Amino acid sequence: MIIEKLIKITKSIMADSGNGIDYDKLNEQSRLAEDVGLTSISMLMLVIGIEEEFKIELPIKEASTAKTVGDIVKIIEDSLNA
Amino acid sequence: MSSAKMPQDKTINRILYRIAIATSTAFNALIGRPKIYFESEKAQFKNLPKRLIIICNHTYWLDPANLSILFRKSLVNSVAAKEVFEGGRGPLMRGLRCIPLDRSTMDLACIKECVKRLKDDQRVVIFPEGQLNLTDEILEFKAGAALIAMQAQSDVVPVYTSGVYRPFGGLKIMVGNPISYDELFPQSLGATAMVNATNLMQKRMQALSIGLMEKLTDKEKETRLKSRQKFAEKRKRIEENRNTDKGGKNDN
Repeated sequence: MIIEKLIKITKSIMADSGNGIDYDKLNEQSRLAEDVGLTSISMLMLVIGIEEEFKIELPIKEASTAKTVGDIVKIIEDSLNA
Repeated sequence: MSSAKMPQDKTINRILYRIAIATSTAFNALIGRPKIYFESEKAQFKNLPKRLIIICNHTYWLDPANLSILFRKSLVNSVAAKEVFEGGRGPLMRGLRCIPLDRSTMDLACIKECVKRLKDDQRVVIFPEGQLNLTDEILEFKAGAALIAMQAQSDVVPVYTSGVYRPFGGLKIMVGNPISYDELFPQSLGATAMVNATNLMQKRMQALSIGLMEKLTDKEKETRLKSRQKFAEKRKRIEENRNTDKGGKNDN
């Protein structure tokens, strides 16, 4: 469920990038920079999108060191359970 | 704790703000005395909206004070490196409602604070080059200003300053035509739109810098060059001293 919402947010952020990535194929192992195509600014947009969608405040230091989609899912889970 | 958190006591805030504005006004009257040019009538202060992001090249730590005075039709807040709050300049920065920015990380707290104040129809000054720049080249803009503009649905006005602060004048400032939110984000609100908006701001700033340089006389250009060289040397000395101090501490 979390990963589905995450992919939806990512797709909306990256929709205008035309980078040819099939975002529906993303999984927990997908790397944020290499496979998802996130830059520092799109990462910030993702964090903002996650906070709005899940009504949580992400720990920014952890989010900025996340390497994979799975890392982000874990951070969201931790924040939801905090 | 959020890095952008302001002191709780509103009365103290108001007093600090008034003192900072009075100090900055006195400073402007004596030292800055800026001569202001407008790209067109649209850029004139009276025609600018209350909710506004002011982007400016950054030449001196007093730029926020100067811009706070010029654009004070509504409350002006400047984004400033968090280090500036730590020394003797801290009270002035806090008084001027500056928003601390931690440049070592993704400072989302700073972005949120900027958006919040803009949504309250205040103004926010951002230096999109992300650092002091004493060269004539405009450095690559960081995308934070575009992200804040998108989140707050704000127009942006580019400002270029000649950066010569010396007693009894010399500072020249060019205020560009505002870039509307619709012009910044004509189609989408994705990551590419953010890059395009950032590029548009940079392009407009570059045009503004050329426009201002054309207005300077040869003597003014020479004064500007000397002043910048002097300031660059001073900064280099401060940096060297700082590194020496750090080295000494590490030795201990």
